[in-house]
Amino acid sequence: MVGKLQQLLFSDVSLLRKYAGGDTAAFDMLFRRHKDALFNFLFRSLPNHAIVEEIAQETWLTVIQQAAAYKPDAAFRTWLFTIARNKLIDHQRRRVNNTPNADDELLAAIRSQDLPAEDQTLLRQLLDALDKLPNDQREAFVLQQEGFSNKQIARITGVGDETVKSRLRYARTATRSRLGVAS
Amino acid sequence: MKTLEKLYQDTPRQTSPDALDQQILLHAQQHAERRVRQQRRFPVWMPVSISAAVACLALVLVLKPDFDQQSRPYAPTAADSVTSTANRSAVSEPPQQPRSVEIAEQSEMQAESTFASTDSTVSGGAAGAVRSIPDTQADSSLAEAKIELERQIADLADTRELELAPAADTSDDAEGTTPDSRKRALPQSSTARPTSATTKETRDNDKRAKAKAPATQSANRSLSSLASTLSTSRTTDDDATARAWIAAQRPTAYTIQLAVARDLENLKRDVARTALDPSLVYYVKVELREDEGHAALYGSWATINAAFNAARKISPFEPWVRQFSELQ
Repeated sequence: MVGKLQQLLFSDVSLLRKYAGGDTAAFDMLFRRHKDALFNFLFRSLPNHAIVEEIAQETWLTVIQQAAAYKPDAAFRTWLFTIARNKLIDHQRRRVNNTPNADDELLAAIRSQDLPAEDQTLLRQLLDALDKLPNDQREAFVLQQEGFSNKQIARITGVGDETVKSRLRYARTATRSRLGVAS
Repeated sequence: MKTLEKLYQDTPRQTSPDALDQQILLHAQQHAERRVRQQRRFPVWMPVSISAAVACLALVLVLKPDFDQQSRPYAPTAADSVTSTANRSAVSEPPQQPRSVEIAEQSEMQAESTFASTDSTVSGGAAGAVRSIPDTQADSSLAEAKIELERQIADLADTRELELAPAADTSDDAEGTTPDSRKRALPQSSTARPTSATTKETRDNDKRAKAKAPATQSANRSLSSLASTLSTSRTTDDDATARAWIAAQRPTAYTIQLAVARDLENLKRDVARTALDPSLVYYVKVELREDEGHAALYGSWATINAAFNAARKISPFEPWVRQFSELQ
């Protein structure tokens, strides 16, 4: 109850400003709001636990260091995911060829989790279909599922609104065709 | 059948592990504490204020203002002369140039002292002398000299009237800019004796002046010594001619100061480029700030309006209409 009330009282920007002023409790609240969404996005983009943890840590360290210089041009959540995406791209650029992107054991564990029986097969096919999508389409699809609007996705990925729309359309079409799901 | 989005939402969400969370929160706490310590030790405004102060100091050193170097232009516009002539008694000092009052007073003192130093009707005047006085000592000495001059000039007022009367009479005839009038004026002043001395009235005046001679001679000597300390200009042919011409004019008449320059030849060359008759231009020595200069004076007009009308037609100079009473 108290946590919900605090979330209503303090916006992300005000919490970040409080932290910039030395209030560590404000950062704690801000971190708990967004940590899981960020981790999930990173994991969907790159299903490797170790790498995702490293990128998530780097992302939050950047937030900590840049808190005092933050200018609220966009929502804090958009800024956070933009940083995370840039870290992800940096990682992919410097990735050593023999480093596996996907953690196969983890993926297998996820897919074998106890889900509704009727969706077990469909869910496995969905995750496989997402893995087979091009990076930009998968990224747009995952961000949309995290609650971002097309405009916010465009800002995070650094492309135009129309490009985001087309990427989402291609992602849905390709996934549905692979799953055999009607729109 | 569930839609694709609904299906995706059903997939298990990955959560950030607790170990990672603790690590990030610890780092955030350490970073905040470090930042607070830095702010206490070294405020953010300090480097900004220090750099601003250094910049201001450098600016002052580089662009060091020298207010003593600022003075009035050599050839003021006709509008300036309107103000200075029409409101000569009312205006104590022009805006933003407070020292010009002292300069004007110095010119007056110089003119008066030069007048008193001569025993004839010829009087000299520094036309538009622009001079900056270097220090306060000079100011005080000038002020003392001025008081002394005013006192002695008041004593000699009667003598002045006697001496000025013939010159004023002749200047009535010589008023105007014709060469004839100038030719008539020059011999009078060069001989330093009025042509109307033959009249009975003038003879009476001369007698009265001679009666006061002993007193005036001693006063003139002291005035001469004071004037010599104030005036550094040397009399040349042009200067003498010009001063004689100025002295021969009516004090209420007006002349046009064309320009002031240090080099007489350059000034003459500039005047020669105009359509003005060179024979009507007189060059009088004046004191500039740290040097001597020459002022070019042109013509004599009875009224200020006539002088202004003539001044407007003169180019490329920016002439200054001046009353002869300022110069005599």
